[in-house]
Amino acid sequence: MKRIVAVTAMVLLLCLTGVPVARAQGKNVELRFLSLMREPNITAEDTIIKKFEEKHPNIKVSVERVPFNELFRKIATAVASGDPPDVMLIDGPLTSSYAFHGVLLPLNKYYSADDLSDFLPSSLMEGTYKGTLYSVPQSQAALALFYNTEMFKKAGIQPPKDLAEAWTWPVALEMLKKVTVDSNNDGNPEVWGISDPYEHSFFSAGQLIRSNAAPGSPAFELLSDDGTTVSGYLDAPEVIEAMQFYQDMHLKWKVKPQKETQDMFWNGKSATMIRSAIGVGIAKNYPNISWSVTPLPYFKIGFTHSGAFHYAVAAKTKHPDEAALLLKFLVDKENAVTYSQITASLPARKSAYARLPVYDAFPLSLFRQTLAQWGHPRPRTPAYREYESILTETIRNIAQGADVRASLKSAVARINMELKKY
Amino acid sequence: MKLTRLTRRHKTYFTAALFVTPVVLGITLFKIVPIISALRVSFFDYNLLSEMKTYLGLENYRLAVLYDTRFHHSLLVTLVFAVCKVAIQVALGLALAMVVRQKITGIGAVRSMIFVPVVTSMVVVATVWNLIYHPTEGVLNSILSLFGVPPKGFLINPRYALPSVLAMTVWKDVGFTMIILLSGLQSIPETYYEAAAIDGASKIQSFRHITLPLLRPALMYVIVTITVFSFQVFTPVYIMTQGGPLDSTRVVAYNIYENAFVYMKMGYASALSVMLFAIILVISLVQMRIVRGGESA
Repeated sequence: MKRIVAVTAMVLLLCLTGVPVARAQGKNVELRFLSLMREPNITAEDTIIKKFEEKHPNIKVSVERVPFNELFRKIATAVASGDPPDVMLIDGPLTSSYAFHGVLLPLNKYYSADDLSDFLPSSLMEGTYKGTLYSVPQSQAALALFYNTEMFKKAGIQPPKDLAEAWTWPVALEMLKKVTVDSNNDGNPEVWGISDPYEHSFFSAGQLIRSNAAPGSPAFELLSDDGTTVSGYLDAPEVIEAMQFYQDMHLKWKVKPQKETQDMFWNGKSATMIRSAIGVGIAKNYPNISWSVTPLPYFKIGFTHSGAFHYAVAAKTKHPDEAALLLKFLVDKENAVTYSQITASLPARKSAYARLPVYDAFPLSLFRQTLAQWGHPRPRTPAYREYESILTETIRNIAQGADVRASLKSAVARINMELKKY
Repeated sequence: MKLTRLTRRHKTYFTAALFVTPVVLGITLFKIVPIISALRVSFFDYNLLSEMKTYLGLENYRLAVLYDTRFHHSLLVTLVFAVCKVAIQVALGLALAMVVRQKITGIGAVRSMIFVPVVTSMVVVATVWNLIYHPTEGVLNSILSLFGVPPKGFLINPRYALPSVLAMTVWKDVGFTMIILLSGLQSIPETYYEAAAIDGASKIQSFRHITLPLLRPALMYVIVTITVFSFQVFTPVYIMTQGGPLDSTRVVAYNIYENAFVYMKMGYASALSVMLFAIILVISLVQMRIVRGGESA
């Protein structure tokens, strides 16, 4: 018994004495950084953070990474427990949600107007809520259609390389039917016409809807100007038409699988794939697949959702200046170039393009042009998290056979209810 | 004399307290405190991201009971899941226990094999079964195709999704049921069966009149625990179906998760949790009553 007490006392003593020792030695600041567990993002960020720590030896950055699906929950619970990471990666359109709830530190005092003018305007817009800057862009994004050149050659199809000649969805569908291979006719193709790693997400599948309408029309905006309702927007005839097409791609024409497998395109299981410029970087891991890119098909107008991940500082950080220092470093002119060199994602800085001639040459030039000419941000609302979740669930249900009209009607009712909260 | 006895008794208490304290602390910290705080939060409009809380009284409960059709639907899905899970898992667990009780060489290995899924993480199991069930790449459809059965969308067809999740969880958990029932079976003295055999009882008669009644305590434990855990099922749904397709696997726990972490309605989600807690409590009490009632009869 005595021994237990003695050991416990010793352990306690050691713990207690350990604290002041650590404090006395460290005038150093430790910043907690939360980001995405996804390559090539990890390599790129680690490279940049290493440089940061070398430049600022008194600041240590401890990195925590979570999968995309966990990112929001991780931030929300950390905020709720009063202990958020100092610097964090957030999904760009969620800036409004976080800012509305006071989660983020305003960044205007850390950037001059001149600093900001180098960022792409659409990225700045995504990082701004009610005139205040809350997040800065890690990169930008635009989607295109990757295709397997061997499969298309075999089918005798030469997809266009210019935006001006881009396929419309009905044309693309006929092509996709030709490259879909189902040799035993069991309705379960060995090679699908098209795959989509963003699986039924609004980011990706939403482009069918919005390309089916003119800018300014309800089906294009998908949210009222004042952000209070989606009635008449999300259930507009063009939305129903586009979603019916989307459902038929899965169930009637069977050119797209209801459930993806990882890297389908790179394993030869699909002839095309919707992906951002990051796909160009990932392609290096699959030297056996010969590929190229063609513009994303559209209905009435060429369209891609733009916007990507942003960095932000927690409002509750204990080290706002150091955190802002790290945030600025992550996306400064130099590191915007480094990030894009490693990941092949589109830079969100104008100056980076001048230093990266690779974005003037095919295939990356196609993504750059798509962003410039076809790019539109997602609807801006502090209810974006709820809005997107309900829409993505609805799109998935439609792909799995739910009645299109009824699904959209129910989505309208549910989103309207969520919008009321704000 | 008296003093020493007292100190000895104190010593025993102290030692006992030493063993119990970590568990009590753990349960208090990670179960009781959260339950109480959930109860408190359930009376508020509380958004996960903001610190603002508005007192609502019973409004969250009123909304859930009267208007939340998704919640009502989730209760139904969970009920179906729990009833099927209990019935299948108990029957299968009992059958397996009877089999592995036999003294055959190598039966120990079989027992261990059946128990392996129990100690494997649900996240891992669900991820693996996600692949097994995959409509185009899954091994299950490959096997079915050998018998000329067309491919099934196990997790993407609303008709098959819940049974598929159910089958996976039964496979994962049946080993635990088997072990409990096995220990129950082994505590029944062999002499009872010998006596019954001498009296001319058939195997079925011995099972009905000796095995089942004497197995009652073990069965009660198994049924209550499976029910409680079935009502809380979350991980496989989160990983395999996200409540879909078409809400066919929207169980209560997933619905609570969605309200809390997607729609950020922490107060409302807490109210749903409290109701789930109450439902499980009532069902468990009723079950115990029924099983105990049978005992005295």
